[in-house]
Amino acid sequence: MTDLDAPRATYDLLLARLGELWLKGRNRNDFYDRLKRNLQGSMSAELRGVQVQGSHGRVFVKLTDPADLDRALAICRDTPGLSSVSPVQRVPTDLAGIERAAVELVQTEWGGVEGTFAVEAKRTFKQFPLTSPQIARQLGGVIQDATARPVDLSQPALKLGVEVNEDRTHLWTHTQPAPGGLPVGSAGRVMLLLSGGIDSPVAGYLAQKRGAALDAVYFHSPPFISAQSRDKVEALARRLATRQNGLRLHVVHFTEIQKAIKAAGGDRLTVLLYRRFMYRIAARLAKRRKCRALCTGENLGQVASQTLENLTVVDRLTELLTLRPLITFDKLEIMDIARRIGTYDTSVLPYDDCCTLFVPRNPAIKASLKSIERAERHLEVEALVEQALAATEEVRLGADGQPMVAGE
Amino acid sequence: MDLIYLDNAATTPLDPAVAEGLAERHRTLYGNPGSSHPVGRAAGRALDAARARLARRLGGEAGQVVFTSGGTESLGLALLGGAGDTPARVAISAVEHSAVVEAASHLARWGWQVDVVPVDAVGRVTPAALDAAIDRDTRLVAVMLANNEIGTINDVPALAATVRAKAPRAKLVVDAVQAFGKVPFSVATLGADCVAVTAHKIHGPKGVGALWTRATLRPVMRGGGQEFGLRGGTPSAPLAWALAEAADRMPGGMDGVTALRDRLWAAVRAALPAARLTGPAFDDGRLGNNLHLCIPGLPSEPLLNALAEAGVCASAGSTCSKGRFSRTLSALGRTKDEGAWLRLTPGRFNTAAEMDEAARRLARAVEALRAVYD
Repeated sequence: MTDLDAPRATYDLLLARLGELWLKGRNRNDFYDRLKRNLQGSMSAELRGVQVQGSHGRVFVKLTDPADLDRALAICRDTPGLSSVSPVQRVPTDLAGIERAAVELVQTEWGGVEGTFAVEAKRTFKQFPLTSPQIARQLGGVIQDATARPVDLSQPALKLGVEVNEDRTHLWTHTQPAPGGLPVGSAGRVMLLLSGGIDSPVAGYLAQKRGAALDAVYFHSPPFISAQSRDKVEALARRLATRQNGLRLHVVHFTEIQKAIKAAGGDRLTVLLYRRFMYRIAARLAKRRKCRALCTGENLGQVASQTLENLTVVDRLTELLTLRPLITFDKLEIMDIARRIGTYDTSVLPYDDCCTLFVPRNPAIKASLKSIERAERHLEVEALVEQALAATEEVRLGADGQPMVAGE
Repeated sequence: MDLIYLDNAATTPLDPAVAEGLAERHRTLYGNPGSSHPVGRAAGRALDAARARLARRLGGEAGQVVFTSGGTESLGLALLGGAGDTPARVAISAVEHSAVVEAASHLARWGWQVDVVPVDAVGRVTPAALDAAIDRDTRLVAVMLANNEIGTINDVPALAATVRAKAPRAKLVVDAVQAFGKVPFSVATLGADCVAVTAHKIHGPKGVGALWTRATLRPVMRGGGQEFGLRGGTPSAPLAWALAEAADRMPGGMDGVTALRDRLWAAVRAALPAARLTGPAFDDGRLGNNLHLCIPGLPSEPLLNALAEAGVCASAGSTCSKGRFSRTLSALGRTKDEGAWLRLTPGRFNTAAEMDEAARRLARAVEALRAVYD
């Protein structure tokens, strides 16, 4: 980081830009409204008095306290549907005023650091007396006169952005990337199979990034799995909840099913039998919650249950589409995303996973559907599923990620 | 369902009388003991009084008692503050608390050689083992008075004699966190140079402990020169009072609690004949509140979870070593696979009825798990 990387001036306004592609479609207004609602929700959950406003395919975030700038930027960087965000200065559209603001902003942001600069200007107000290149040249000249610093159009140390609208003009020197993608919820709802590991929260995030809103289901197996492991999953769910103004976490009590599989001698098929029950239960919850797909953190070849053969054995169970955003990722790629979205440190806390319970050292690598179905004949599948569903708890997490208490 | 708290070795419930007195003193004794005005001097007097009282209880002098935030800080001050500039040898027993182990690892980074003294089958450091691990270059020795996991009490006076004979320049640092208030001792007879204690293991508040020391130490936390220049930071007169008060409210021996522990063990053994005691026999130098056992054929974690679900608060061993197998049990040559390891530590606020009920709940939990694992 150079000294120019963090904004220094005082700002109370952010300009967030939209992922461009979806602006053209017929759903444009729905998407736009949803994005603004999502962003307003995320901002309000943390910061007081923030207002999100839209105008001309832009989103403005108005802060009541400039000290909130860093958090507000961080929220924008984490909001799917936005492509980038800048803290901006807003002045009336008047050339003398724009010139003054440009010099002042550049001087503040520069501090004592040496360096070149460039101006990038754009006007949406076509009646403005100068064209976009003329605005850039004019402001460049004024800044050069005031600061005696050289212009460098190819690799400037500092870049001033200017956008001239009819009655107001925005200026900025810092632009940070946002995730892109689509506003969460614009693609409908999916049911995420969430564990305490590294992968599934990342899968959930990637589905959110493409517009899916999440419900999450967690399979808990007391007393074989500790209450801390459940707390950990709730902590991961909170990280996903803040991106979509709240989330429902379904906690399925899986103990009886695991005991039944062990008693029936699940043996080398144990994990696959577990996973088939998980899919069945998740699909039933998905239907109840009108989710259009399941979403998992499965990854080709990562563990024995994730060979093509074994994935097929679970995939055949439900007619529901299953999203597997991580299917071809390398573990290191997944870990990178987990670090970026802030789930990694929670995921690597020690925890026990119900999939490792009662599991033999040599699980089946290539199970056949026939052998699985044979093993399931010894189990009261439907009764076990019903029983687990009946004992399922629903934890509602709010836009701030905290559990919601009745009446709130 | 009523919770039964049997994890007093991890921490204890606050004695209501201490809680009340503490709340009152937080209101009235808010002064900075270093200030010269009446409010500051009132706090200063209270701090001095607490120091004198605690010193009496420890069998030492007031000028040798440094208030700290607790056991870990006291041990850190003794070991890091007691290490001279020239790297030498430090010996610690194989069953020390993380506070000692981590301080010793830190010394290793300064170039010190860390010697680990093995323990016998019940977790005790023998003079012979200590003798073999130290020499004239040993400048620091750390042994605990009573072990936090299995309650083994060391013969510290005998170990001190070994240190004097074999490593005369060494400071002997004693972790008395678990023993304080439960085993009668006096720093005068222990023969140690530094003794660490804390309030929260004796029904006092978390956040205050003390180090008794007759050695020359250097501060680890520097600042305003408080606590004889050994610990910078505004001292809390209310917390210092609470430590002294909690100590004085402990009966000294543990007769009542020992009776509870014995009753619990009898009830557990009746319900679960397979359960085996870990560590020394009850009459062979063991903390009166410590019961540690192994139930063969089951893993630890599910049993602890099931007990928690049944409202019995217990632990497998040290709370401060989450996720790893116990260092103490490893030092005894025991392994994770032997069975479910369970530490049950009653305290002054438990009842006999709770012991019987806890044994019943334990038996039920074991039975339910056996149905799955057998």
